[in-house]
Amino acid sequence: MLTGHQTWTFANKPVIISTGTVGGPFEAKGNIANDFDLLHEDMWLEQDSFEKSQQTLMEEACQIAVKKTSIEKEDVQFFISGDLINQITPTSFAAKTMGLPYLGLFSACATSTESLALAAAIINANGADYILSGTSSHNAAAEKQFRYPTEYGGQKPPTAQWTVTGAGCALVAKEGKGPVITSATIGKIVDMGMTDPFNMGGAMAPAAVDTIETHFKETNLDPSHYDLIITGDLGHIGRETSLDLLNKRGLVIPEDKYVDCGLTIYRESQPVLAGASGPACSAIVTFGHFLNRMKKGELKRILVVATGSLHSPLSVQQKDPIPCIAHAVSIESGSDIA
Amino acid sequence: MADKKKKNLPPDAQEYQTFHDKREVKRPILKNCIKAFLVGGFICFIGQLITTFYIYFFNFTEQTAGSPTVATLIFITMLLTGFGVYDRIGQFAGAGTAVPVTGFGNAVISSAIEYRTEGFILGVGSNMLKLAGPVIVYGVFSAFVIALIKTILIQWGGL
Amino acid sequence: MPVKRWLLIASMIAVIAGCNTDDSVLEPAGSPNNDIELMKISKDHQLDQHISNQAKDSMRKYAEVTAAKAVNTDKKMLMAVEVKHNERFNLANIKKQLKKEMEEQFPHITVEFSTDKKIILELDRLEKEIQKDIAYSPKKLEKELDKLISLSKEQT
Repeated sequence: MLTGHQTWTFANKPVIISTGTVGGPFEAKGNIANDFDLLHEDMWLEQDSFEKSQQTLMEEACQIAVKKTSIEKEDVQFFISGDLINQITPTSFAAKTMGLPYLGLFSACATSTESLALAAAIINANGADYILSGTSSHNAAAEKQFRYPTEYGGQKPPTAQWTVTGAGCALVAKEGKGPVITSATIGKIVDMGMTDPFNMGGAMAPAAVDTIETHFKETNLDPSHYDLIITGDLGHIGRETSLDLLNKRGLVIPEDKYVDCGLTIYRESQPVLAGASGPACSAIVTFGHFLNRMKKGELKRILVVATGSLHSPLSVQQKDPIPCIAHAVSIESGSDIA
Repeated sequence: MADKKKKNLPPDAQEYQTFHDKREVKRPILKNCIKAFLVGGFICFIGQLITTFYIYFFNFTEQTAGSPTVATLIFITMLLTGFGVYDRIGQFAGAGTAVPVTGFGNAVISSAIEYRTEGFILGVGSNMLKLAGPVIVYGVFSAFVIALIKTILIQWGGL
Repeated sequence: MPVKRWLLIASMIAVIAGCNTDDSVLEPAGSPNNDIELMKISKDHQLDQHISNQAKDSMRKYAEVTAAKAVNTDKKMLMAVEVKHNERFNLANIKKQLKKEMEEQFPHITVEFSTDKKIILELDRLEKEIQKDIAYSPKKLEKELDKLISLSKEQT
């Protein structure tokens, strides 16, 4: 199962039998609005705080994922999830509502692939039959914690990114119909001394490069093995930097095969500056958009590399650099299509 | 400053930062300055209109019309902030909306709105001046320093 | 860096130049300024306004003054002038100079001097009222004038 130092290959092929994606009003105006299962008109979701509305997003995504299958919520063994709001409370409250055994994760925007990799590993080792994995984020809740109040009129630099409002959830099972998870590479913290919290793409790019490089080295694969290499939320600057860095290190990936979730979810005309970010960004785009394309047969094999910058407002104010991480998960279309 | 900071980093980090800096999109400083100048000037123009209005139609002199003008501008800011317009103007204008009194008003009002969910005492009360607090602290402090310098100059410098 | 240094030097020069205090800021022009906006109260009026008329007239020698208003009683006079817009940088000094001049010209009464737009407007109103109403009572004038003087001294 362990291949090399950081990579798991899953011989039993855990299957993503269903997914649930929920988005907010800004996402509804975006590029991939059709790939959402549920879109909300209201940022508040009729809750009395942004944190509670994030909790609701997570709950809805899980319920949708379960509802799409023939199994009941009680058949699910574990709920593996996390987010980036204070001590991941929105996810914990959602877990309370779900009433499932729960493993809370914190990997900022890399939570989506981390939870997916862990779910696949547990299922591969016969630790469970069904696991719900996913993550959520809320634009206003994240802005409030990491930046300024939502209505504050400070000017953001062109490197800033827009946190996605939404939640994405995948139901991973031992057997069933759907795309299978074939391998996962767990990343190391990469710290290049970047300190600007308004330029997370630039800070996270070397982490993505490190994980992608390790993945190909340890699995003995070539970039041409995958139809698409999908990064989480690097944005314009991070995508360009990481692509150049990969080419410099001898991993040649064609421009059109290297896509970023943060650049897929919104239209260019939306005022998101460098692109989207947030845990839900990679979760929604992967579980919604790219898995739908895989079901249509447009894609056969994808490598999802979600990147996370694991800083806190405190560490930034204390002038610490931003520690970054990236986890890669390789998803292939299941036997029902091939 | 950036170079000094880089010196303490390991060589691979230094190399990456140089690599990255070539690809980073910089803030368009000149464009931002012009936008800030125009929008900031426009806010001052509105302020002048309000001042003139108070002088002509109410019993205020040039001296005393300042206070109601500031209050009116802050009231307008409150409406714009509450309706979610001010942050968009701010993204366009930058310092043009941050430097006039409207920017101070926006900093207070947006914090007050944001922390309403945490209650009125520990939420609004303690977070309202989160952004505007430093302005008050250093405004009072620098006023004190300037007053001290002036006093010393008048006492001993014979100005 | 050099740009920042130059900006610093330039701003310091601006500050120092701005602090320049020159006592005599207005120089009498060669020809009298006839564009000045002023209204003389008729000599036949029951209220003696010749001091104010004289004061307003003496403003004619400055090209920078655009309007002059004044109203007086036996004991005091309130005068307000408006200067050209770009002269407003020197407003404090102009006010000081003209006030001194008026006090020297009329040593027997108290001169209150203002450059405030509100005072100009109010004096204009008062002048017109006096002009129109032949029987304007001195008591009422005294009251009006006191009100305006206290308004001109109001601070924030």
